[in-house]
Amino acid sequence: MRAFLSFALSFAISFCLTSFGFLAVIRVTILNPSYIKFHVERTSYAQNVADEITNHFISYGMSSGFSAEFMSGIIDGRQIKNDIFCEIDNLYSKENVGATVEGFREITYEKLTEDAKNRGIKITRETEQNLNYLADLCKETYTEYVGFGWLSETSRVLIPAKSIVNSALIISGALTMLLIACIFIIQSNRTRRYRYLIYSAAGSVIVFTAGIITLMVTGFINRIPVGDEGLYKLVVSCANGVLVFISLFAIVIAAAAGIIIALYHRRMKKRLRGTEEDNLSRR
Amino acid sequence: MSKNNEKIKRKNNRWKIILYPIVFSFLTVMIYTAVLAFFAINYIEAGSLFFSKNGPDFGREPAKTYTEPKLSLGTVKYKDIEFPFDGDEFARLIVGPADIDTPVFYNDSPKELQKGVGTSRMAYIPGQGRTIVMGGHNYGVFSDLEKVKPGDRIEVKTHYGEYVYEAAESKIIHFEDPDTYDLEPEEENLILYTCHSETMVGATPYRLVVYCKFISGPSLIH
Repeated sequence: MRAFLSFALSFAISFCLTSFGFLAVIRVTILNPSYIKFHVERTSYAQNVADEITNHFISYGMSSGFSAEFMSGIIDGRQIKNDIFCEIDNLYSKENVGATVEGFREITYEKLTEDAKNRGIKITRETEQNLNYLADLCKETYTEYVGFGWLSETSRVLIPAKSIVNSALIISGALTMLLIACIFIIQSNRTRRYRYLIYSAAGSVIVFTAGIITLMVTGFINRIPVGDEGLYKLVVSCANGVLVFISLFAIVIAAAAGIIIALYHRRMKKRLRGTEEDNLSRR
Repeated sequence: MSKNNEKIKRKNNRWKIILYPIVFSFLTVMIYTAVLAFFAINYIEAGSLFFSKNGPDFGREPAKTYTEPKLSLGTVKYKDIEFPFDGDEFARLIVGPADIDTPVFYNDSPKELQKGVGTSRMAYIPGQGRTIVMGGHNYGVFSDLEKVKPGDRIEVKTHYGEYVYEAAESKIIHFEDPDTYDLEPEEENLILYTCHSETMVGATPYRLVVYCKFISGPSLIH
């Protein structure tokens, strides 16, 4: 009965430890805006976005009488990066601190009007209307590329997910400690305690390792269906980063298992020495 | 006797140290799979449709497949032509009255339109017996498109054939008007379009559209 209970507790510890690991990794990666921003920098995503926006603006210029040089000059790389970071914060916050697109639109309209005036073009009511239309077009494109497009819909999931994961993390961590305490209570024999803890830790390490190997062998991450090259690189980089964190967690658990194994072996050696001495003294 | 018991015990424990973690990991994965399947099976099934075998290919550079055509009549098999990919320069557009003699690229994204005429991926290519839609910038290759009048000859040369069309009608139309580009007809026809504006600068939602009927060119067959 004690052995069965210990087996069940050992499995429960393994399950809770694995869950804790996954939740912890999700919390520090996907649910952490700083993590996403780090990868935005790492993959030069902001530069890709700037290049795409520039391409579109040059195209708009070619259909509206503005030179490629002028339209490229409207783009400010640093502002794009800041707006991308604002949009990332926006994904995780209800406060809507999004990109300053209205300000961008007004500045763009002013620049277009100024350039037209400098070229001696009379600004009639119709010209003003057409310049406004062009500024709106530029704003739409800017918003689309800076705002992650359809991925911004994920904020509906990310915001509640953060609080759910936080709670689940605390629960799984507390449960793990509680179950370990139960093993200690049920098993008075230290050697057996170590054995059941080794089973739990090893089980958790196997799940993490098998998961990582499966993802690497199948190339699942590289097949993520994102059509935009810059966004694809960002998503793949973030996903690979998650794998790295899972690996680190697995290494920590493996190291803990290693320490317990070392303690277990020491204990076993002591027991064996004790048994041999007993046998010798009886003879 | 107790030494033998100890040996047997140690052997059993060694097996348990290997077996139990494997059993635990298997059970953990089964539980996760069951929970995921219960809550997210529809999303997983829908999402898996989008996952390709090899992942997106961004490394391919656009190719120039255009060469002077040899055929102007008859049929050409699909397997004998190089069907274009995004960005490929696959044809040449010649419109005498509008002084247009420009390369044609597959896809009409800003990248292609900066280099010449772009063919919409949502429509077809010459020879497919359906609607072909080609766009160009009004401050670029299509700056004189308005000079095209009904009856004017338009040539599209591809590496697999030479196609001739005749301008039928020109219209200024809102780009969201559903009648602007009709992809339904099951006969070859060509639509050329560009932005339209009455002012020197600025953009409008209107397009100058030239509708052309098919005169001659080889058909693509399977």
